[in-house]
Amino acid sequence: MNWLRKNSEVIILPLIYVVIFLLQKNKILNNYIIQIIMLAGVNIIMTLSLNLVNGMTGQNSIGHAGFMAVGAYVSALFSKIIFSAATMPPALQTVFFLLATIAGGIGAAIFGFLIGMPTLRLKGDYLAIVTLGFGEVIRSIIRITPTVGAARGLTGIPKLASLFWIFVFVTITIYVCRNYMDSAYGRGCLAIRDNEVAADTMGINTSKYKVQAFVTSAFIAGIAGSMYAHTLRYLHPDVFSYTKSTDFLVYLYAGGVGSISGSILGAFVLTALPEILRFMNEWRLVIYGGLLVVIILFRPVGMFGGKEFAFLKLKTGGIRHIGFSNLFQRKSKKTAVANEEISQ
Amino acid sequence: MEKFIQLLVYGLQLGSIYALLAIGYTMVFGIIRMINMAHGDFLMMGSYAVFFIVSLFFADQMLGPAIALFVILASASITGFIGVGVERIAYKPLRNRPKISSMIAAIGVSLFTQNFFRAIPFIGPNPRTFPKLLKDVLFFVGPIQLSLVRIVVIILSIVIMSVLYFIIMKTTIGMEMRAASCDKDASSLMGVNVNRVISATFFIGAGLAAISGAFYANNYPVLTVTMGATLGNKAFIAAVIGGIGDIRGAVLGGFIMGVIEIMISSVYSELAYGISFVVLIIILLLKPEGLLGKPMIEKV
Amino acid sequence: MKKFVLLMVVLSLSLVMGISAVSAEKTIPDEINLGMISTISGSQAIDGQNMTDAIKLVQKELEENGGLDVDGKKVKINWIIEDCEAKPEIAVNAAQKLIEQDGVLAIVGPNNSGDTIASAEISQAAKIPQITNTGTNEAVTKVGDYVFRACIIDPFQGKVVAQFAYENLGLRKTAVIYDNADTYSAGLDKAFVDAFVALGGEVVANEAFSGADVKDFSAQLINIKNANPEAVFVPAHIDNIPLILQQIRGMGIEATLLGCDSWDYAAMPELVGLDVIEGAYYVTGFSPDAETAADFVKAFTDLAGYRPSFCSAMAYEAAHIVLNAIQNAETIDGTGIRDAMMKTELDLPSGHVTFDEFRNPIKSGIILQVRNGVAQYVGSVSPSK
Repeated sequence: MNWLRKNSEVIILPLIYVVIFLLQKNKILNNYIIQIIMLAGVNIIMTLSLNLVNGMTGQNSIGHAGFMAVGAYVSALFSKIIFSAATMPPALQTVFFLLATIAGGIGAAIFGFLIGMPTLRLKGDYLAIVTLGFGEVIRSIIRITPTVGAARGLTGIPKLASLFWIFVFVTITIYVCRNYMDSAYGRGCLAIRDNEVAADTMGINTSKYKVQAFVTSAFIAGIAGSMYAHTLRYLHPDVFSYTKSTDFLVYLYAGGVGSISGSILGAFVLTALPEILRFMNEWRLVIYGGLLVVIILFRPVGMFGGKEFAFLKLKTGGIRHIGFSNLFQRKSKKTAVANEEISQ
Repeated sequence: MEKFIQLLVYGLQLGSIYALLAIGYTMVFGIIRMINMAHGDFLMMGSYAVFFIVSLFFADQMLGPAIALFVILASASITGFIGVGVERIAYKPLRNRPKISSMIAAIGVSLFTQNFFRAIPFIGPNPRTFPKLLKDVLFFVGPIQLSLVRIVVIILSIVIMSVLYFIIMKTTIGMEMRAASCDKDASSLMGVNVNRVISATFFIGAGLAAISGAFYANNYPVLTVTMGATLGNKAFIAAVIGGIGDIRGAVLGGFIMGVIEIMISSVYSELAYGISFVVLIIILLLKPEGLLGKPMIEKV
Repeated sequence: MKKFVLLMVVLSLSLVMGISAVSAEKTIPDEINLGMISTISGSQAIDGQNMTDAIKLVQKELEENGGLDVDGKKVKINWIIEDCEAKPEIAVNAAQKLIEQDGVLAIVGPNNSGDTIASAEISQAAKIPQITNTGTNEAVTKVGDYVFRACIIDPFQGKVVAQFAYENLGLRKTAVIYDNADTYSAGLDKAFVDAFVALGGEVVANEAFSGADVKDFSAQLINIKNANPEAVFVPAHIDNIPLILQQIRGMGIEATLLGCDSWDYAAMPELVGLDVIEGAYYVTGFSPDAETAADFVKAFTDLAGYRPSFCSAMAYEAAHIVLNAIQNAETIDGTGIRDAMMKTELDLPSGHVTFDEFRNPIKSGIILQVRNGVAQYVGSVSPSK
């Protein structure tokens, strides 16, 4: 009971699912809205994954779609090409879907490790460029690999992900992220974000903590990739382009970086917004871009920056307000000092 | 060997454009530490500005070099003012926020401009042909084929870079820029008008993007509203490779990007894009501060 | 705690309701909603405009008739146009929206093979026929029996170019430059190379570039130049074609230029440069010079202000195939329209159209040559050959 009180997301999200499910059964919600909710779910998982790196650890990954691509392709390879899950009985399908999803996550995590190991030792914006490059490299490799369809794209992936499974994985991801943030590892990450040198001095093995967070994040991104592949049933390397990575960055920062509620809200609202704006026809992305600027201008920390929904508040409390009001000031001074060193 | 030199020439031609764009990037980044995702869109605006000036005032004429230069400078200043305006509206309020907030604002600006240009009727989604500013002459030096326009572009790029280097190193505003990039607060206390400096930086940065847009469009004469998107990224990487904040580094990085891209495309075109990124990443891992950058010393 | 559970439920409910309240019109029996999906934004926005104008023309024709004549009753047709940004998941959203909220009975588009494959899964599941105008990739109609196309397919197109080059032009050594990031381009490259080699010719250089953002092709072209081909085949999209062709000539490659249906825009010769494209051949599914097309070309040019491209012509034809099927359908629903579409016998601007059992139209490939800046009819190659 106490556990449930502390991890209320494992009650509330299933409740929301039940509500949506009932509404769908009673034809109040049509497939279009369910489709948007599913897409939003995938985006929420991705944004939470990005939040682990950009929000909690203070690193800059701007090519996260690359990990999603790895997860999507590995899981599709697993469920379509190696095991052709489409022809199995439903119970077995579910098993293989879960296996494929985990395989996708592990695949992405391996790449996360390979990239994180050398890069995260460096300070500065190198992770940004390396992740950006990684996304492009992965796409180039997929393009010339005939097994996964090369430039033709991969079609006929079995439709195994459903609203139910997406909710399951969203719930697990939120649970993992919250507890990660609340654990010693998460505290270490927060310390690195707020002041890396100080954290180092306090005896935190900064490289290790950063790599851990990054690999976890890549794993989650891989899972999101698997959900995407098994929802959409079609993969093309260009889907995971740099623009896709930017989308997640936008969800995260407009929602509120560092905040789990913010990530959820940002991903949900900004996935739905372009659809709601459909009546604007060709002006819809103009409005979308404009609104984005307005959100950032009026709430530079994002819609939910520095805040959490009550049910997602940190369990141990106390540390919640760290950083968000003073952090930025401190950071800009820190960079000013660093500037002094590099400028001539 | 002949082929190698020929490819080198092509690489330098492409690199000169990356270099020009990277300078603007590195200046903005050096002073306000902001990844300006909309920088590539300034390039797009610049080349459209040239297109409209030429089609309004000099329709169907072969432009002489003098007029061409004038047109380029005019569109550079138009774009420069747009750049200053964008900074005032969208970036300035975020100046004391983490850099990434202004990066998100820049993404918004970029989305807005591209789609706005596409939606307004007189620009629209149709690709446009860029007017030939200079008549091209092909000639051979031994077996190497050279194009006059492209050589002019390389030379002009180098001239512009030198002028800029002079401005930054020898003039008052340049000194103020360097001061502001060291420490905004301290230089403000020393009587530097930081707002003015940042505006000037954006003016120069956007203007340079417009100039590179004009050169770019002269070499690759098809205008679309999305033309700047990936170019901006390449310029960003070039700036980092060279050592962020360093103008000479940006130039070097730009040329290296261009040469690597062409060389690898020639050997194995299927994977060229990926491999050129791998090479850049390797350079960066070996020399994290960039080729000309000085190592950062971190203080608490 | 309880309060927040309640709050969350209320919040999510209201959010969800908020979205659903946006639309959901009821289909009135004497009105039919039809959908069109295209790339209105993104790098292929030109196709979106071409298709939108084609649909406007169809709508204008319908309005002049006072609606669609179904068994003597005038039915009002509403076209609902949605953007897919050239992204598969947005295309899926668009298809879901059209089917669920607007209750469309058929969908025209999208113009991209990838977007069509992704969105066709939706219309297949909902049993709503979908007909793409220019999704030429073979896999498109393999999604299911509700997916049609109005154009010729990649393998056939590549074969036609190869055959024409080998037999009619007597070429033996060709080169290809293609975009290996693009479904369409890579598919045509493969089809052309296979067919040309099977005929006994030699492909001396097969060079790739990656993505529409590449603007400099010097490295690829220098390899092509050194291989000294008699012709260069350029299956690419409109944002690259002008640059590739200009650079081919700029590098002093004098080979014949060969192209495919993505070259077919009225503005193309001007965009490329008249001196560059002069004499180039390309294959397409539609010739604006054909007698059957005269009325359409005139009407379209009057309405839109430019000559119809392959893309707009195919969107126009796809729309008419759907309208014709509605007239002939036994029941006015997705299945009825699909069955009627299978039996299409219709005279359209590109000629007489019927479908084979794989829902691909039986059409001949038309060869055009650019002479004096205008694409002119050279000949046609029929599929049986």
